[in-house]
Amino acid sequence: MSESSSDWYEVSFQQPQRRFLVFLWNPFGNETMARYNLLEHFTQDLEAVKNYEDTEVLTSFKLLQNMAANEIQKIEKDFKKYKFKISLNDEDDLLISDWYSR
Amino acid sequence: MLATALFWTSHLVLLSLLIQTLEFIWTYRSWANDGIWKFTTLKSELEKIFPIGKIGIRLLFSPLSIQLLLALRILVIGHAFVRPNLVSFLVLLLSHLILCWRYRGTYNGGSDMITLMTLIGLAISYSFPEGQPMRAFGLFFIAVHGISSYFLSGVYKLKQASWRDGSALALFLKKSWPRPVMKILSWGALCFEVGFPLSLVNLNLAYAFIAIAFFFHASNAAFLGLTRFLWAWAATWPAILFLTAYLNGIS
Repeated sequence: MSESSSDWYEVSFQQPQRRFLVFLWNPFGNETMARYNLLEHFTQDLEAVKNYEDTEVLTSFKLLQNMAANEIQKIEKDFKKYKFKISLNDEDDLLISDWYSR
Repeated sequence: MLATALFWTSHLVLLSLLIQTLEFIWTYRSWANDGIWKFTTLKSELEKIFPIGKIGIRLLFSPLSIQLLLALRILVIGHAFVRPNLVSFLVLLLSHLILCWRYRGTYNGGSDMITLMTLIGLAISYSFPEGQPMRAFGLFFIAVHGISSYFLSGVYKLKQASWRDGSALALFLKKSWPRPVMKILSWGALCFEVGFPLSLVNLNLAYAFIAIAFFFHASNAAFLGLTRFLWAWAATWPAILFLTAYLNGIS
C-alpha cells in the first residue's frame, strides 16, 4: 500500500506462463520461487523475535521491504511512502508494517 | 565406465550451471542496486559472517563483482566443456558458494545444495590424475548424496499426513483433481523417493529409477516451474549408475 492509495496491492507468487522451453529456461519462474523462499525464511525468522522493533532489524524483513517497494513501483512510479502486510491467507495477517519512506 | 560416468556428470552439471548463470544475468534487476537482494541491504550481515573487511565484502558481493563473477563463470564453463579439470571445478564451486551466500541460501534451495555436492564430488575426482581409479571417490560421493536426497525427501513427506492423503500434492499442483487420483499420485511419488536406494541393487533397477526420476523432475518443471531441479539432479544420475555398476562388479 502506498500513501496515495487506500488499497493493498497483492504480490503474486504465481509462476509465469510456461512454454515448451520451460525445461531449459525459466528465469522469472526461478526468481519467483526465490521470492517465495524468502517469505518462508522470514516466517521462520519471525518465530524467534518478540516485538516489531526486533523484526525490523531482520535481514529477511529488510529484503521483504525491498520486495514491497519494488512491487508498488510497478504500479505507482512516484510513490513516497509505503507499508505492507504479510497474510497467511485472506484473513490472518501475520504482520502489518509501519509506514516507510522510499 | 569411470571415464564415461565422469564425462556425463561433468557435462550435465556444466549445462546446469550455464543455464543458472544465464538466468542470473537475465534477472539482473533482482540483485542490482534497486533490486530485492540489493547489496546495501545484505552487506552488514555479510560483514558479520565473513571477517574480511568492508573492501573484501564489496569485492566479493557488490553488483559489479557479481557481474564479473557471472562472466568468469561462462568462460570457465566453456573451457571445462572442452577440457574438464580441477581448477575449473574449484572456481565453479567457489562462485556457486558466493551466489548462494548472496541470496542467503534461498534462491532455489534444494537444487543449489545438490549442485554444491556435485561440484565438491567433481573437485574430488579431478584432484586425482587421469586414469587413476581413485577418481571414482568423487562419483561415489555424488551418488550417495543423490540417492540420499531422494530418500530423505521421501521420508520427510511420508511423515506428513497431508502427503499421505494427497492434499499437499493438490496444493502444490493447484489442481482440483479427484481425491483418489491425488492420493495415488502422491503415494507414487512417496514410493519412488523412499524406494530410490533400491537402485543400487542392480543396473536394470537403477535405469528404471532414473527413468522415473526424469519423468518426476520433468513433471515438476512443467507443472511447478522447477527447471533447475531437473538439470541439477540429472547431473547425479551418471554417478548413481556408476556406483550401482561398481557394487555389482560391472566395470
